[in-house]
Formats: sequence, C-alpha cells, structure tokens
Amino acid sequence: MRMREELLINSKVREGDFKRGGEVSSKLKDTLKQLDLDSKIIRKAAIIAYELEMNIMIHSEGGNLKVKIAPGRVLIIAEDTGPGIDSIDKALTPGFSTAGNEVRELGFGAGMGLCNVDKFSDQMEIESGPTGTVVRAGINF
Amino acid sequence: MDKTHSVFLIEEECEGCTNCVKNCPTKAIRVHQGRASIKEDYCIDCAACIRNCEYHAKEAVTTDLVEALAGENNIALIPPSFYAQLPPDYTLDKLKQKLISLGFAGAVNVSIGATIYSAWLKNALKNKKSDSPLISSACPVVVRYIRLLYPELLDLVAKYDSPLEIAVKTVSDELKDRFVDQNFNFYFITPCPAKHTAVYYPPGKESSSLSGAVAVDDIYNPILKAEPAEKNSEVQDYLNDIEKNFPFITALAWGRSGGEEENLGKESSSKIIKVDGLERIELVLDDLENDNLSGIDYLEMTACPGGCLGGVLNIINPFQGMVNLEKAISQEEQEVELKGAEEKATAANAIGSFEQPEIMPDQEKAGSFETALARWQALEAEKEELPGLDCAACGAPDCVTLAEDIVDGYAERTDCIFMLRQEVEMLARRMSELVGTLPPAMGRGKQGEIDQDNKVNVGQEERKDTDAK
Repeated sequence: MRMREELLINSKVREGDFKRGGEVSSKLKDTLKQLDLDSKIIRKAAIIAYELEMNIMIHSEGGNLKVKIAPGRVLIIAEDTGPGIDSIDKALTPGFSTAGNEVRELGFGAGMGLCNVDKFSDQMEIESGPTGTVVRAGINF
Repeated sequence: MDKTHSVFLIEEECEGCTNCVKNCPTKAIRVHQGRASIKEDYCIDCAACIRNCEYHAKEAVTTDLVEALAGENNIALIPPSFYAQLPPDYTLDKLKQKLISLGFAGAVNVSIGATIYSAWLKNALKNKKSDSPLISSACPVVVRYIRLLYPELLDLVAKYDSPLEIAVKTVSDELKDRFVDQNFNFYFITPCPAKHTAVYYPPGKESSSLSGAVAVDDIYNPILKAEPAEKNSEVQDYLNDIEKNFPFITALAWGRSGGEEENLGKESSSKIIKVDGLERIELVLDDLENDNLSGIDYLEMTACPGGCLGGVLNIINPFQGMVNLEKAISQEEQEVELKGAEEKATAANAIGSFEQPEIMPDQEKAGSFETALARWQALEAEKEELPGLDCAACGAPDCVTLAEDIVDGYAERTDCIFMLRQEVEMLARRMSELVGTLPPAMGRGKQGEIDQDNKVNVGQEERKDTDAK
C-alpha cells in the first residue's frame, strides 16, 4: 500500500520580506529532525527551502512554499506570481543573477540560488511563464 | 565519572523556579516535583544554568585538588585564561613555583598545544579547497553543541585534537624520553565544566591523556596562599626547556576570543569569523546550515562570552581578564627567551601527523519512518492544544517542548496550568449541570426547565426553603 503524501509545511512568502527570511527553512529543519531524517538530507532540504524562499522574496510578487513528505522522498514546492524566469538555462548558470543592487547589498542575489537547488536536489522541475513560476525540488532518502 | 556531563544539581538548594530551564540552550532541563533535573543526553556542559541560577543550586563536579596531588609525578596544565586570573605581580615562573610548592611535580602551559594547533590550521587554511568554512575544535562545548543540534555540520569541524590534548601528548612524549620508567599524570586547571567532562568523554576520542581537571576556583586560594618553591624541580626545568621550543607566549592569546585568528599571523589572508557565546554561535550556525555564509574560511567559536576567560569557574570578570592577559603577554615576551623563530616553526610543524579524530553524530534513529511520522502528527496536534505562551510553569522551557514530552510520555497535558484550568472549568460546568439535575421530588424545577445561568442559585434557594421548614 502506498502511503499518501503528508503536507508538512504550507507557508506564505511575501515579496521583499527579508525579516522573515529563513523562517520556512528553519521550520523545515525542525520538522525533519522530528521525523528522524538523516542529517545530510535535512541539510539539503534546508538549503533548498532557503534558496527558494529567497527567490520568491527577491524575484516575485509573493508566493507560497510547500513541503510534502512521502516514504523515501521530501518534496519542496515554490509557487509564485510574478514576471517568471526569462531563461531557465541562464538562471541555472552559477553567478547569473537578475537581482538589483539593493538586494545584492544585503548579501543576496549572488546568482547561486537555483544552482544550489539543482545541486542539492535529486529531481528538479521548473515551470515558468509571464504570470509566475513553480519550482519543484525532490530529495530522496 | 559515571555521567556524560559535569554540571549537576544540588537538590536541597533548588527552589524549583524555572530560570535554568528557560535559559538552557539545548532544552536539557525540566523542573518536576519542584526540582530541576538534567536530561543526560542533552547537557553539553555550557554552564548556562550555573550562570543563571540565583540560588546557586547548579554546580560543576571537578577533580578534587587533594586527588590531583596524590602520589607523585603530577603535572599541572596552565591555561592562558588562568594566568589572567592572578594578581599582576605573578609571572609564569612564580605561578609554576607555587604549583610545585602545592605538591605538583611541575607545571606547563597549555599554549604550547595551541601553537601546534595554529601551525596545522595555517597549513590547512592555505590549502583549503572547499567553499565551506572549517570550524574550530578547541571548545568542547561548541563541538558537543554541533554534535547535538547541527550534526550535518560535524564534518566541517577541524579534525584536530584540542590544544589541551595536544599539549599533554607532546609533553608526555618528551618526558618519557627523559625520565624513562616513570609515569606522569596530567591535571588541567579548568575554567569550565566541559573541559572536566572532556577528560572522561573527549569528543571524538576513545580516551584522554589527562587524569583529571581541577577547577580554577578550587585551586585559586591555595595558590595565593602558597609560598613559591625556592627552586625549580628537575621536572620543571625540563618542562621549561620543552616550552621554549614553541612560540607559546603569543599563543597565550588563545585564552580569549580572537586569539586563534591572531596566532595565524598577520600574513594570513584567511577570512575568519570570531564568535563567542552560544546565542551568537547559533546565529552563525543557522546561516551556515542554510549555506548562507560566503567567503568565510574559518569559524573561531567559543561557547563562553569572551572566550575561555568567560569560563564559569573563573574568578575575575572576562573583561578585566582580557586586560590582564594582554599585560601578561607583553611582560612574558620580555621574560622568556625563546629559541630562534625558525626553530619554533619547525618544532610546531614537525608534529604534523597528529591523531585526527572523527566526531560522529550521536543521534539515535528510533524505529521506522511511519512511526516517526505518526509521532510528528501527534506532536502537531498537541502543539495546537497548548496555549503557546511559553511560561515554563509546566517545568518545560516552552510549549513545543512540553508537547514533545507529552507525546513521548514524560509529561501530561494537565502539567500545563492553562490546560488544567480548562479541565477544571469543564469539570465545574459538568458539576453545576449535575446540581441542576436534582431529582424532581426535591425541588419545584423539572430537569430542562431550569435557567442555565442560575443553576447553582436555584439549588441554593431550594435548600434554604427546605431549611426554613
């Protein structure tokens, strides 16, 4: 019998809300620790959640971060409304960033976000159009 | 030592307040039946509870001075932070002579271990390829904190022994060469409970080369009162010779936060974050965990504010200590004649193939994923029930921790004073309902006809009526 997915986290992420930056990631860390997951898996999931959370804050008009778990897999889904990603290939190039100077001055927008998501996930899908973006990143355990 | 930590409770002094509970960075303490109890597996000997208990009910167990002086050939290890505790007229030589007159065969500076650590570190940082920073392994509290709460960062901790272990190993090897057939015991003068624990449970090692750790506040007065020995012992002369092979005077700066960076030398281009105090360390580790630190090569972290000078067993406040230490360093630089700079570097680099312990996470994986998920669901449900005020009146530090304790069977929901009140209210309501359901023969009202708000009053009036008759 296949167990259905369990929704662990469903959090709204606001544009430019840096004060709350990392909140979802740290909640996810706590939750995955409760679930006795291996520390390496937790670290990957935390990094991915953090990067996706930051992406929504920096590049979109706001969105949602969901984390689901099923036996053997953590799935992190970032959905936002906004201008979308012009070129996904470029976005996956290390160091490429469209972030403005203000954001960079805060230490973000170094162009590593999606690369890191790609690097630390086992599966990644990006759907992006002129009204928004959905990124799904899965980690197997 | 049968416990994995050195901080303990003096039961009769505990008032059952929850100061220690709320200030414990690993949530290791609960107050039950008016007594604070420490969860063995969670205590990292940071001594936050010792600092915060106004009743002085928390203490550190350390090696008794009498025990450290029993038998022969006992060597005292002096940390830089201890040197900074002493009055300004104390030179290192005077301190050593006093330790000898107390009964030690000799004394040696822990900073020689720090010079070796610094030499390795310099090398490691020069050749470092990874983007992630290396984390200092010098403070046992930090290492245990990471092992408990950030196990995924453990492989970033430098796989070097602590300067203390390095110093003991170095000195004991040398002594064996010189004094064949003699055994030496090493006792550290400790500013903190964690370094006492490290004698019995050194992080990442099977066993320590030390025999014990005497608390600074236990040895302080005996030292002040002791008359310095008139001349050095043979062992002490030899120890002084060993010391001179290392640039140990500058390494005295390891006694305070920032000392590790300074000992890498001015020519080092490594980017280093110096953090002291566990609260601030948490900030840095959280960001490191999110991969949100960039361009950092090394994290110099000490759990006590100010570094080892902030150790809870010390006598003077860490800021005064910093001034004393600076003074001591410049004074000793004039006193002690070290061998040539080249020789120093060679000596430190020669001991390059040191034991490099792997520190393993100590988390236990309980049962299956399904069990863990069911527990998590129960936990979420319990969190929903609890008020979220984190008042700690239940004896746990916050509502989330109480929820965990409830789910794991260590606490009950009615341990929460608000939940208890709710239960009492429900009970009272039920009681008053029952009062209203008296058999019709005893009163005029019939069940269901009574005004809900006046149930109890109706009952009382009835009784008055009966009394009047």
